[in-house]
Amino acid sequence: MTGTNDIYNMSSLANQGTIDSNYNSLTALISAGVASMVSCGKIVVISTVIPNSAYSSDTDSRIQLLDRVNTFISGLANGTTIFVVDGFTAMWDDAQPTLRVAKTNYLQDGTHPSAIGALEFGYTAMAPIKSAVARCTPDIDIYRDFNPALIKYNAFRRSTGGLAGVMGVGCTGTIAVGWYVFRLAGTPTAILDASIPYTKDMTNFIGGWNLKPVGGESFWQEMTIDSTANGDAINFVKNGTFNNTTGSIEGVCGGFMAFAEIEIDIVSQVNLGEISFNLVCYYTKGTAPVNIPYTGSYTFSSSSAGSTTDNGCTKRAMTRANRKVLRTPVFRFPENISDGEVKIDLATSISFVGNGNALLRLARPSLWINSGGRLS
Amino acid sequence: MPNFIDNISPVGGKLYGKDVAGNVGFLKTVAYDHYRVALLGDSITSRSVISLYPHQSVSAIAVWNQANFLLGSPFIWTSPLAMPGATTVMIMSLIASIPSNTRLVF
Repeated sequence: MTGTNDIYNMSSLANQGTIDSNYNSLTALISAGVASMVSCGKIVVISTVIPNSAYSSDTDSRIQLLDRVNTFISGLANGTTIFVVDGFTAMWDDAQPTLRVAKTNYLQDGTHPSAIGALEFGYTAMAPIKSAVARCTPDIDIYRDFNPALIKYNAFRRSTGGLAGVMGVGCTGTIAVGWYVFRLAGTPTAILDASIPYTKDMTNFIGGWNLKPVGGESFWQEMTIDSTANGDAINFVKNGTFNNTTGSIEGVCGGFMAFAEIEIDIVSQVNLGEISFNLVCYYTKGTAPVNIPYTGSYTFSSSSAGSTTDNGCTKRAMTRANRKVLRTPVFRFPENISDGEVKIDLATSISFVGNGNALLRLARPSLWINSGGRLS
Repeated sequence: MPNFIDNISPVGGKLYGKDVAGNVGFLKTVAYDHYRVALLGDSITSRSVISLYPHQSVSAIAVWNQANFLLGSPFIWTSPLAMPGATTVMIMSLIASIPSNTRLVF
């Protein structure tokens, strides 16, 4: 967020000369930097400087600098090489027009966005980013050297109940073949339905997700969750997905790498605080040789792709429904691990921050494995 | 890239080219389907980078991550150059670290 620290660090009592001087140096730097990138063929997406809780007095000199810098940044947009996200407007509390503070709960600590603020920024960023991407060519194959695992379960397949997974107490309905749901905390209820055909989001999504074909059997795993209280949580799991001890076609060995993807449609919600998608990898540390890396005490590790968690600050409920694709980081299994059970779970964790409910849909869970140096 | 328009259908993965007469036509379907992105900025931007502790995770309190999620996760932050506390002069100095193979800069 170019300019945030320069503006924040200027005195709130700065005189006009200081404001002008800061403005001139800031805008000269941004101009030169952006021009340099454009001259090398880059497509630049730049945001206006977002509000800050510090700008809570209408006599604060930094407000003038912020406004002028944002006007300058907005003026950079040319529709060909420079695209502007108006992050300021996305987050500004315009009910306090003389101040430059964010809407309630949009900032985590007065400067950095909360998950809600970041989500609102994300919505505002979609259009300019799509315009920028239309000027670009895809340039990376993220699946290179990774094979699709979960061969039977890469889509949610319809379940009639006869092949349903094990459902926890309080859950009724049908669950996609091979998947399980466990209630972790509280007493929410959940009605599950795996019979609604999946359809792509051709309006909002760009890139590779929509280029993957949809199978003949591809359904949403719908969850109608109700009667929640603060702290209630549900964990939806495909466990033992990839297991080296159960005669899988391929096991999991040290050095293998994995990541996972899923699509989540939050159709509606009240007090839904968090959904995270996790790649959970289980293994036990090895005993010999001992003097190589990865001999730590971990018997469990995980990668997760958050969607709404407010890591480290008070959790807030989401402000609106949204549909997303989440991808975990790549997890690499350590070399020196036991030859006992090594396995991967996919888990979607859902938690609430108050009395509420939610209609959620999950689709197209994908697990990708790089089988450590073996031709595949 | 002479005689070439690097424009792409947002959903088709199709590459179009322009001949010497300026006619635009379909060239090929590209194998690549995601986009490298260099991230420049301060701590607000740097939160989009994968955190390594206590476990690897993708933060939701990150503006570009949320945009990425909503667009179907087409972006990979291959050059995470955002630095907490960075002023504009620091941010702009890191332009020199953007690789030639990366076209998009957020």
